[in-house]
Amino acid sequence: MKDSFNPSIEPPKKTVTLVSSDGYDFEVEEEVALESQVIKDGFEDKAVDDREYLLFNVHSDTLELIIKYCEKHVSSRKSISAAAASSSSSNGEEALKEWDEHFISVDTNTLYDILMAADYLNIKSLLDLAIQKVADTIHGRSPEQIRKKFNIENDSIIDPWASE
Amino acid sequence: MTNFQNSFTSGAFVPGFGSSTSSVLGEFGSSTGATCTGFGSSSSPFGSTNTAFGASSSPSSGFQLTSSHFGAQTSLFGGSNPAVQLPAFGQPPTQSTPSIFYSTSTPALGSNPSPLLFNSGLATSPFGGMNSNTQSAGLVQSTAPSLGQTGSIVEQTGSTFGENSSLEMNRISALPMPIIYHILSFLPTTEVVRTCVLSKGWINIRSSVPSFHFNSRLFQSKRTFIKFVDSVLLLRDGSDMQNVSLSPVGWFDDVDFLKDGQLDEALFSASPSLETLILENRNITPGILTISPSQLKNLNLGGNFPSSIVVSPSTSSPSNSI
Repeated sequence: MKDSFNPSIEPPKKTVTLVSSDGYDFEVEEEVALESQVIKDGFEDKAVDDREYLLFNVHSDTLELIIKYCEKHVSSRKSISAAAASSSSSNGEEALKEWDEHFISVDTNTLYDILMAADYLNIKSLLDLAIQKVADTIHGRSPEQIRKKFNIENDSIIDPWASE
Repeated sequence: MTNFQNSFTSGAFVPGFGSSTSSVLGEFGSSTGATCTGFGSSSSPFGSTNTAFGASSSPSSGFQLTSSHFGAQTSLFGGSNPAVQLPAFGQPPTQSTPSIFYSTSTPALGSNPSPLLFNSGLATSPFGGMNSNTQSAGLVQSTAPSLGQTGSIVEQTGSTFGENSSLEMNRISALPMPIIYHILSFLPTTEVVRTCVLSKGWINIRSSVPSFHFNSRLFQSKRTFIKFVDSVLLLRDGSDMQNVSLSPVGWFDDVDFLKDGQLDEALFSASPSLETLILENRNITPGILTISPSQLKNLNLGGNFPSSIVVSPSTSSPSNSI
């Protein structure tokens, strides 16, 4: 019996190896790596088997988080479309939003790492998520609170209280 | 084209706009090619309301589209955001080895500040310090044959922003400018302006930030709101504006603010990368509103408008005058 007659046997998934700045290899499925627009572009340009990407600006700790995010989004996108196809009600999108919210609730340093990596790899949804998080942190806070939150040293020549 | 230049010269009479006018004029020659970039990762904070062109403008306004360039640029006006790969923006992304992507450093001010497809590098951070953390973003495929060059990149980026050793560092100020602008675009303009007291590095950011949300609900009186909008717009340094949302509600039922119609013209015509323009409940004094949006995606106008609105998507087109 040929493979083509047996749908349960899938061809082995194509993988891509991502190498972090500190030299760790991460083997991920192709579609997960393609969440990054930069990798996608490089992929389409080449159309050959360069399956190893050195990411000089992404530390392994960050890359692990990024891959986690991409995997989650790829898998939940699949399950959402599957649920839509079978017209069964599902709150997949809300669950994903919740998951995102939880994912991005990290300390500021990690948040910047994620932000820079998402910008570098051009993962739009993740970049938006991280930027929204930073904006939320600024929103509604006084300058003094913002300084404290982000460790900004007050070297300003303008003293807002001087004239009052 | 003549019309266009008229609007510029009239703009120069507005106090504080001398420099902005000249810098934009100088830029026009080359900007049309480059302004197509940045679609990849830029997101509109206004959601995806793609108002059809002129759909909500008042019946009295003649809406003239006067350029044959519309056809060629249709995709820019629709909702789709094709990830445009930069054709020769800044330095060429590849040099001798095709598989190394150098980061394209954005010129800091006065040009398209939207995020680029490739990481826009450290040169844009005005803060100094921490720069090693954002050093040249390079995506290199390991099979690149030129080991010499790869090695030098490794050396350059020896310290990457994954190192968590410096918890005390002021990392928000070290972010590249496009990201800072992006963050600020999520905030109301009142809070954006407030950032200027944070530290020296932040003083001038409010004058180059490309997105505005003016909302009168945050103000006590009409007068203070008008004063605020006027002063924010007057203190611009001449950078392009990308998203402008001006939504006076309540007390604004008459021709009231920015009475000097030339200010509008100077502002909006000097913004080739304007992406979103939302003017609600808004009266503009008679005259011609000229905007040159090569990247306009959302246009939402409500209120009384001048009899002619010129939308000229490409300044290089000779058919822009009416």
